Amino acid sequence: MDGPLIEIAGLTKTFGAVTAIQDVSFVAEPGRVTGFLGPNGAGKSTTLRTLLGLVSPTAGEARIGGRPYPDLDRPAALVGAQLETAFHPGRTALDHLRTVAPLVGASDDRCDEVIATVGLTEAARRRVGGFSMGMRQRLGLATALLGDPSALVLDEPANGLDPAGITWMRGFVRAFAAHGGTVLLSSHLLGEVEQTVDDVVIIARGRVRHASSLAELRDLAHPAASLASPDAARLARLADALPGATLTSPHDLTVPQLTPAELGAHAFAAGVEVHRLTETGETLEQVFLRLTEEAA
Amino acid sequence: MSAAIRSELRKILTTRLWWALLAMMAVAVAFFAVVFALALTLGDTTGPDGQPLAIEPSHLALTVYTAGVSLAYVFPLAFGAIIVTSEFRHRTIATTLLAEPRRARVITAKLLAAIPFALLYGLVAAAVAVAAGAPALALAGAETMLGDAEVWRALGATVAAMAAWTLVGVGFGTAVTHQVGVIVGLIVWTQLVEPLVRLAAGFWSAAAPIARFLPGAAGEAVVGTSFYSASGLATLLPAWAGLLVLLGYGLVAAAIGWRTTFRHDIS
Repeated sequence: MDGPLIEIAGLTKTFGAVTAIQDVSFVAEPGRVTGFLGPNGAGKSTTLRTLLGLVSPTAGEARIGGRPYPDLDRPAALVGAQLETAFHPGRTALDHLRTVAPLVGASDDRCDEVIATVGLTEAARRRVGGFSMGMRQRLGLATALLGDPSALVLDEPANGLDPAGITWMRGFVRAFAAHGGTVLLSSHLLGEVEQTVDDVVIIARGRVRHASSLAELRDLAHPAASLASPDAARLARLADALPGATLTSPHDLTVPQLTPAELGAHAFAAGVEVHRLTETGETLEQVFLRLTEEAA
Repeated sequence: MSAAIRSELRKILTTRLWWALLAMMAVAVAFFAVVFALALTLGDTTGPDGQPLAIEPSHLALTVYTAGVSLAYVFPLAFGAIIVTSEFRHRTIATTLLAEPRRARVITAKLLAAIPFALLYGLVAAAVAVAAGAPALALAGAETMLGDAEVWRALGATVAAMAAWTLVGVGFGTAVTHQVGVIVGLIVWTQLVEPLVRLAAGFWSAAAPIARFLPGAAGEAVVGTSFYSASGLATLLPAWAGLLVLLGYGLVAAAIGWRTTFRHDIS
């Protein structure tokens, strides 16, 4: 399939005196999974709802395949969207899909098909009121898939899923993108989607703080290394020679801005006997936190 | 458009609301028909002046058969309102608008999908009123008047009035969207506020013609008999005008809802 390009350009939305999002711009490309990440209340849902025509922007625009969502003919056949997991509690899972089906041009067979895809066949004729959060997430994804779309927009799809469910969801969106589809999904936890996404867009307090591939985000991690040696005297001399180095004990040295390989080279040159050499730089999660907490 | 209507019909048919309210309405109509039949025939029928009230057989039958509309209109009204407000209460409106972003089309589809159910409520109300009212009248020794053209005209009007109330519900549900608020508001208005307004208008001749256009008065006009008009306190519109006024309330409310609540951000 050929997924559409999702473009968000200069999107701003104010609710009264509150600016929910300001000048948000990014793209989600076909064949890739784009993670839209930020803490709760950062503006993720507002951005996605504006993209999908549920919220009208104060400024800027959002396009899917070159057109705003509400201008698409049969939009649900191009973009499958899952926002909150809201269903009428008295309706069965299958009946819920059947209420949406006419609007997206899906047959009853297609309803059975998507319910099987998300693994809810056994619960298809049960009322949604008794569903767990994980089952609701699956039913929400089934709803998004009903129109056989080539793009998916998923708001916090991993919320409430058990570990097996997260693994399943990961495999599903990876396969969707591998077939050429466009996937834009949001999460407040980088760790939850780290193995799922190709690109990351980080939003905090309504503004985009960072947008790049996941690999480029990894490169932003500040390196650091630590080393343990039985030779306290030589270790102390090495500490003096390296800027920013601190001795956490007479036998343990930590040095910022150096990779373990670089620190190992310095130790070798200084004749320091090395018993242990470890990477202590920022984790991806710490980079994410730093980017979300930095001043605008 | 037909896809949107099919979607709305499926929404109605896949929950218990339509038949639960229909069943409650049937019980209410049967109850009122029997109570009115027995009260007006076996009860104390002495008027305030001490003279026996002379109730014509046809008037008695009409009152019994149309008792449902005077009070049980709240069921189709609530049904109409809930098919819109439940989308907001259960937050399913986002799913609906993702699949059909043209919001006016969603409202129109809801109005059109409600019509067959509106007629069903009307038909069931009329049928139950006769099924319960006629035996009760016969039991009390009164005439059932089922051969009377006027009675059948009133039953037809009952169907129209109940159906119109359904669409009023859809319209106001669109404009207000708060489920409890809109239903309680409509009942309080039609049962409490409007009778008081009409009573007050009765003392002020300039207001009386305007009072005929209030929704409760319009609903009564369709059927042609009611408590309030029987009391001689108010004049009513012709039946056809009452029906148009009532439908007008529904459509105007729906249009207001389209321009207000359905314009709002869904967040």
